Amino acid sequence: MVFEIMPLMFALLSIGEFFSDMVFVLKIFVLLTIISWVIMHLGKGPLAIVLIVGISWFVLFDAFWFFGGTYVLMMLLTLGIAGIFIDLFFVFPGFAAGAGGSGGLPAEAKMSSQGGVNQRMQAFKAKPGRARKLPPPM
Amino acid sequence: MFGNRFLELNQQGMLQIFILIVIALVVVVTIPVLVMKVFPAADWIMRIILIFLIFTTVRGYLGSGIPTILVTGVLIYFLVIKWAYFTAAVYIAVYFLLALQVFSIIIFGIGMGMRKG
Repeated sequence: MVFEIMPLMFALLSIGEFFSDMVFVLKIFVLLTIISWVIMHLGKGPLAIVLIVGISWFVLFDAFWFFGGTYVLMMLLTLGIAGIFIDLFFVFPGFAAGAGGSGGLPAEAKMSSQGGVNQRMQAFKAKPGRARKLPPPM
Repeated sequence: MFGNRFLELNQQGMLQIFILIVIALVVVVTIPVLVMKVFPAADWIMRIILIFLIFTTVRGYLGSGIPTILVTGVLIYFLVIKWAYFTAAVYIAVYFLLALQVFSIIIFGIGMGMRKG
């Protein structure tokens, strides 16, 4: 019985080891960020060292459950994951619905796809009194 | 808010396309791991690239000095020696797919391929 569940135990231990290693690496990167930020503002004096120790203790050991996730989110946003979400939820449905194509379905995303923008521009221009009057030719 | 959005997209058959995008993402992220497994030279080259990347990143934070060497050594042990395949996959996902906007190209390509018009 023990030998039968040993692969499962090894797999679970490996997952736990992987998770703890990645948390440790994440803590190192957060510590590097703190050190870089404090030195950038205060230089390398004794006040900077005290501040680094204090902030590191609070961030790494007291409230890492919050700052770890916040750091990962900040890094992902810095690398442009918001653009991916915009592509997924707003631009992509417009393309897939045939926006701007001939014979396709009307655009699903009215605000962000090119098809939606074209439709709104045409509707805007078609309204009477909306078209800008050009000056008479000289 | 997001629940309604997902429901709306699912009604239009978008959920299958989302699954296609996830599969494409997983395939692209898995490619470097497979290449590292099949070709030992690629394994070494990827590890060297990761070492350079880690050293450059730490030096950017701490400057040149003994602490940089120490922190780089710790990070190299965990990221390059112990969990090299995971780090290679994350490197490809973060730098190629996110920072260089390649994932947007994948989404755009699948969207144009599934276009109904």
